[in-house]
Amino acid sequence: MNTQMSKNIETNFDAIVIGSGISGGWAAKELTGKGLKTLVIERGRDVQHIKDYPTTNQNPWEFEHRNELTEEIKQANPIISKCYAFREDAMHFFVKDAEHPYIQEKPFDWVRGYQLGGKSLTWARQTQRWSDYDFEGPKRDGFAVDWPIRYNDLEKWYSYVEKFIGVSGNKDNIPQLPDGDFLPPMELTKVEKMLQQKIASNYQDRQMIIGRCAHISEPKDIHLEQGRSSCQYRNLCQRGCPFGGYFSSNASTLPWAARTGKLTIVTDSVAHSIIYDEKQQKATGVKVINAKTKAETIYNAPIIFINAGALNTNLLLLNSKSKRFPNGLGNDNGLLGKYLAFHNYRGSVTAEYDGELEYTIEGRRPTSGYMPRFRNVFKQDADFLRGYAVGLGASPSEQSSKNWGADLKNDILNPKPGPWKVKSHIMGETIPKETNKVWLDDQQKDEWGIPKLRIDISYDENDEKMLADYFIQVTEMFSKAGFTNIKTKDSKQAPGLDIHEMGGVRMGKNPQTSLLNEWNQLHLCKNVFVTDGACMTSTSTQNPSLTYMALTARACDYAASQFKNNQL
Amino acid sequence: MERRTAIRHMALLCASAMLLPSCFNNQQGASISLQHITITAKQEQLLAELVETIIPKTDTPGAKELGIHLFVLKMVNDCRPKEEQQRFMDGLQTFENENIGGAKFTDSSVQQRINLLKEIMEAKNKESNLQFFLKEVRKQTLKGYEQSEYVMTKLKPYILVPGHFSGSVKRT
Repeated sequence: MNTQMSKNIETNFDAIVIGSGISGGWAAKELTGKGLKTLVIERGRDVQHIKDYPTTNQNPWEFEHRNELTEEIKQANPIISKCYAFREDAMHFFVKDAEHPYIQEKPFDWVRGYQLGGKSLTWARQTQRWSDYDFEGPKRDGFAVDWPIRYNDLEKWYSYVEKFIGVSGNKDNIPQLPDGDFLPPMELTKVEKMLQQKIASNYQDRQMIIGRCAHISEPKDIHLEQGRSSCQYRNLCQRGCPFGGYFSSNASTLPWAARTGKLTIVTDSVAHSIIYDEKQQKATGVKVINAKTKAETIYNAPIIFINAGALNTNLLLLNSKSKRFPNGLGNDNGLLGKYLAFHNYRGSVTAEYDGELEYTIEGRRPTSGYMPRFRNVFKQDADFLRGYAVGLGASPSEQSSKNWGADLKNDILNPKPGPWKVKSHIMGETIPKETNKVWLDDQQKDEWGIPKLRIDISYDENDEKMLADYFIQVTEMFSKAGFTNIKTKDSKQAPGLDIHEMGGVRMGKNPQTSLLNEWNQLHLCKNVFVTDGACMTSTSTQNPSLTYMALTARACDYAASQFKNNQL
Repeated sequence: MERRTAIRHMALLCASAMLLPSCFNNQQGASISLQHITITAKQEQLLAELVETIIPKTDTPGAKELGIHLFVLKMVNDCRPKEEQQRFMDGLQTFENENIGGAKFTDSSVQQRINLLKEIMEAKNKESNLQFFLKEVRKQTLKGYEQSEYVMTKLKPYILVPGHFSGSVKRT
């Protein structure tokens, strides 16, 4: 400890990782695994695997309001209450509206999880790989900038990550959705299998598969070594899993990193800014404000990974101002905080199927059916850019009773089978644009003295056209499958609620048009790496977390080798 | 196997013993703490009769015995916006009116009670607070009953840890 600046200064680390969510946890695991003394800085509270999952073994009747939100909570939290997982059983894993306010230039629902493990505790666990049809998208279709990497660069890292986290999936041999290193797939339901066959026979270009997900369907030694076991099909994942059945930082990467003896974690520690040293021409450390006491500490290390969550990573870099970088670290080109994008989840289609009523299901499956993008894959074939993936599911139902009294009671206790309920939702790629951006407010600050973030992100014409096409195509697919009562719905939800915000610190080949190089290093400050959603050049249609993890493992491998060769 | 069954029954008995006190000790009036709605003991009793009419005691307990009327009140108090609470209270007051419900309802036969409820649910009453009230009571009664510990352990056991998933199972 050093009192040179009359502040706490800690210098005892080889690397600092800011954030402990899905990518930060991976950075911690990889860096410690390569022998680097690593500090993880987490702004939220400590959450230990199992011990800090207070609701995980609660039965439905043990929730005071049977998992509904109270009016008081809804009134105090109009934003986060919109999130599907913010319910009585898991609301302690989400940031309440008042805890870290931001400014909406246009409606944007910013969903955050400030605790050890971040949103890896509550994520939806879908893990589909990207393909070159995604990485080549910006170049082929002329938007954003070209990715500096291709599938080939990431392939072995996808495998590396999948083997460790455990991914259940089926090898489907689909060019735009490469197969991975899978544990056994979960089963489609009776009517999903029928839909799968109908789609295969009605369309050459479309495949319905079981969604690949970060669940241990059959543990390998590597999972048992982590203390994790098989998924128990509870589908209560958002509460934290006492079996370690799904992947989270808390169940997997963080305890793994801790075992090396190289890991230090500080919680309740808000990263304020990255400190840049002009003489050395690199970042030297991180200024941190204690979330509760507001005391300031400087942590120094030769390598800094920023994994604060896409928008908070933008915020941190924008707030890292120095004489050399007056507009934020590495931001000579003025593109920091711009070209943000997300996924369009506005559309859903529901239907019913009156057949197969003698069948039902057992257990609660934590994934659903999935159809990879079929629009504009091999060539441009629609009047909009890019395309969408489709979530698909069919589950049995019970007839609801209109009776009263003893008849009603009998109907409840001995329900007759109702039609299968079929559901679908869109996952649309959005095009990163300079006008979709975040920046710092020049007046208002949060309680840690950090400027509030202004968020200006919206849909565009391309998103509307894509949504219209989704409604037409899914309606047709359902109708050809013999489904009835088909209904389309545009939720009109604001961007953000998809929880797939990406970009702002994009990767690219050219320092003039991007912030990060092919190794996720800031072009202009090589010892700072960004491997969370902020690094994304485009969004594809796939849930992005698997790609963040693969990019992180790859960047850590590079950083550690550079460090050992004294290149950082 | 028998021993296992016996243990299971014992566990269920213990579980229901924990549930019962909160259901049976409510004879003394407006018996739970409510901040946003004011309920008299009489209204609470009427509501107990109403939920019992919706789900009566048969060879298994009815909604009143399971304390579902208190669950309804709790949900309306905690989870409904002010405007809906007002409509609920207005509907309840109408339902108390002797010309409609109240003692007349309480003293009626089961079939007369059900006929009255059906009448309230008729389309012509769609806009009325009375129908709003009854719909809410029915909805919360079903929720409270189906998700009661009694039903979820004894009648339709909830399995917290299924341990497997099968997508095509023949219904029995």
